Amino acid sequence: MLSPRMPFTGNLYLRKDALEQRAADLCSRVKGLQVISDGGEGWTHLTFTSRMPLEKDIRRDLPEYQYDFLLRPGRGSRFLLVANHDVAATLLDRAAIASQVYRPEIDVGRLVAELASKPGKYSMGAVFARIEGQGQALRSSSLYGGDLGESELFRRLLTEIMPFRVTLRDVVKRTEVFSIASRGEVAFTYSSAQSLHDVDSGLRFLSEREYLSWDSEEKDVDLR
Amino acid sequence: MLKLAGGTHFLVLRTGGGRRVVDCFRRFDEAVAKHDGSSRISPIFAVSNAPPPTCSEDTLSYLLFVGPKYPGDVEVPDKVDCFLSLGLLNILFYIRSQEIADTFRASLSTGETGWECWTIRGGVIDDIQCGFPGRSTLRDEISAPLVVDRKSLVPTAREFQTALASAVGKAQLYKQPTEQRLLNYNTVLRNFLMNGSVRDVERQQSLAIANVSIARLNWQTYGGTSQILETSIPLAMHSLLGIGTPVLALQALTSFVERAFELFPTRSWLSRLKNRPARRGTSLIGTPATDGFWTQDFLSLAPGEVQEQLEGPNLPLFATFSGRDGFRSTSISLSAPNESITGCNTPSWTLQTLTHEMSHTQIRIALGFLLPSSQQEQDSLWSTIRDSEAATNLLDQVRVFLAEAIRNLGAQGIHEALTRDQFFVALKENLHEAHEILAHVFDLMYFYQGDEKAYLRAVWVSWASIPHIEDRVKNYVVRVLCALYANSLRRDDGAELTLQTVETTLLELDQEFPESLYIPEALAELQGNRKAYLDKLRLRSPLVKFARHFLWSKDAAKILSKGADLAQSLTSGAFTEERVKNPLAFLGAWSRDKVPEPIRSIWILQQLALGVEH
Repeated sequence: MLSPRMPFTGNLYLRKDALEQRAADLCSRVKGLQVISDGGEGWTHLTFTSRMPLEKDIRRDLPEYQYDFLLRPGRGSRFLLVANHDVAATLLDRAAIASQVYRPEIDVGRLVAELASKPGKYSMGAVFARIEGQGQALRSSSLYGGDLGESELFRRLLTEIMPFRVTLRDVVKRTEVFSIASRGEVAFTYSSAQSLHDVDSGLRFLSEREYLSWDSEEKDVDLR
Repeated sequence: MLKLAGGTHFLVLRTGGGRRVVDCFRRFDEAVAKHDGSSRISPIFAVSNAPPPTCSEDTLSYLLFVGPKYPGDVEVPDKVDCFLSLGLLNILFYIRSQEIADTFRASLSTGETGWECWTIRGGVIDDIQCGFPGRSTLRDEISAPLVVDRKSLVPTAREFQTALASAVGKAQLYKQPTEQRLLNYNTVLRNFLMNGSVRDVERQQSLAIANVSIARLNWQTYGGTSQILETSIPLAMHSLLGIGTPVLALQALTSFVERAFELFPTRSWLSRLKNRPARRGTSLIGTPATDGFWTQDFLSLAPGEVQEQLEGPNLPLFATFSGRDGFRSTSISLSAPNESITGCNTPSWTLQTLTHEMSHTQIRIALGFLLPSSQQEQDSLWSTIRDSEAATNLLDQVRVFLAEAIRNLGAQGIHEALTRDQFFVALKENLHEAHEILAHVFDLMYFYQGDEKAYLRAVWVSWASIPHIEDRVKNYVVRVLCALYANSLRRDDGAELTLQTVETTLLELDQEFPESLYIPEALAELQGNRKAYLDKLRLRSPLVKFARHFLWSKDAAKILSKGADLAQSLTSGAFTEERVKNPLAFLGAWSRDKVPEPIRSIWILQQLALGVEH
């Protein structure tokens, strides 16, 4: 059972061997990893228990370490893997499949520009961006708000910044759906099964609008 | 630091047989049991767990009333008990030593606050002394004859002059900033009365409302001040010391908002539109919300452009309390319900609701400037409606845009061609609804900084405190839909998203406030008539667009939101050196309790009245 308000971070991946990424396969490769529940909506909850922490720089003074993972297989060999600590990639290392996956690209710049110029059911709660042409004096910025695209100042700034991460908010529910970055990094806060449904809807939105690019040949990336 | 602790006591004065007897009770039922025809009573609020003054003991003691003074600036000597009151003399000391009383009085005689000291022997007032920080001086601009042609206006005009002179005199006595606002009020109202195009009946009505407003301001601010024995007020629970502090709180709030719109006056920024070229090709009403045209900042000063000076001051609006009117605005007055005095810590009775009334004021100014008021202005507007190329600048087009947006609200339908007369009749018929919609959009944009949930909570919870308004729920649903639509005008399917947002938020509020009368009704109404409300919303979208683009000045908004992030840093019940930076944000942060609580309310009122950083 996941606790409400639990933050998850991880990544979208594609298996190069074109195999579907199954939870059972991960469990068979990593000792201590087990399936807790299969949500039936496509999401699987796994836990990893170990006497050693997965994080590289953590103090080793606990008798046991436990991590929650959520796996969301998509069409074909695509999948999303997130964890309640920044260890999703480490699990793939442990499973010896890190070299078999690559990460998709997300056109965050176009996504942000279009959410600002033609807004719809999502608003932007945060945008992180590089600033080019200012040398070392000014390199990056992060902007926060309830609906950045509605800010005339933000729209003016868009011509000067290169967004690489954006947080999408549901306009009707006024809740954050997820934050997504240009190499498929995903972060969201789990509060109920609805959060996972909202993440699915958000990823579908990115797919349908072709902000998400898995490879040059294949654009249809519905995670379902 | 001074901290409210120890609860509410009840100070009672009874007169009879030439004696003036003072008593103080811990419990209200004890106080009311001894209440007779001569009794006056006021609550006092203990500081640092001070027990009720034991005035009836057979010893010499002193009750020293001081104010208006920010409680955080007060030092309480040893062996002196301190209380706060709702009166203008808002600090009360109970002193049992003549030496301390003498020292106090000597220091106050040269100070900047008013004071009154009762020497009490065996529970009876033996002597009264008082002092004022200022003195009254006659102002020529008030005593100058107010020339009115018709004799029937003379008594009302005389009442205005005397009421105003009295209010100014009292403000001078207590060195209150209200003095200048009253003088501005005099100037603006006289200009209005002297205007030849104003009809007598309008003069009469304005004077009558002004008289009530000034009279209320006067007795509510200065009732219960020196000499207290002679200034009873007709509010039973506050008949002894009055409600001067809550009234000052209202003035602090209205002054803060007035200041923003004095620096960036609505009339002035609309007037600047005449310096912008007319849009050719497409009318404003036909320009889609996502068109690049709307990304312009129409209202800010261009580089090098100079702000146009107003001809004179704006009419200050004096807010007072009213048991009958509740939250209400007229063109020259504002009122808040009496319940706010002890319950302003709750969303139902928060003074933040006054922002809606203040929004009406700005909307009146905007509509007064943009809509035609004479035959000649109607002719000019009609010719621009008939021939869009006749518009010589953006201001001409904005006038047409607004008029057409208002005309759309009615039953005639957007596509139906109207004659000139039909058009202006429709404009007049729909004006009230337009005014309300614009005030709601304005309120959300400026005073709630676009925070939809905070706004919806505020309006529905405050409506819940008004009985028998079931028949208005449909109108209220339309108004809040329009307000929220201002945030979604550019969205794909913005009307549908707005309706879903209102529905989702009402569901949340229904959980949060299960006893609220009208939220379930509004929900049922919305859910049962989605298409009808979507149609209404789409018809009203030009009006919302008008408000979003031509009533939104980011410069005024900057002033209204200055210091808002510091509102939470104060501590309820405590008065320290830290002051309120932004009255609006302060009210937003501290008016969220579920249950009215007098101690928390008085803290809010004292902070607002006397603790705002200028």
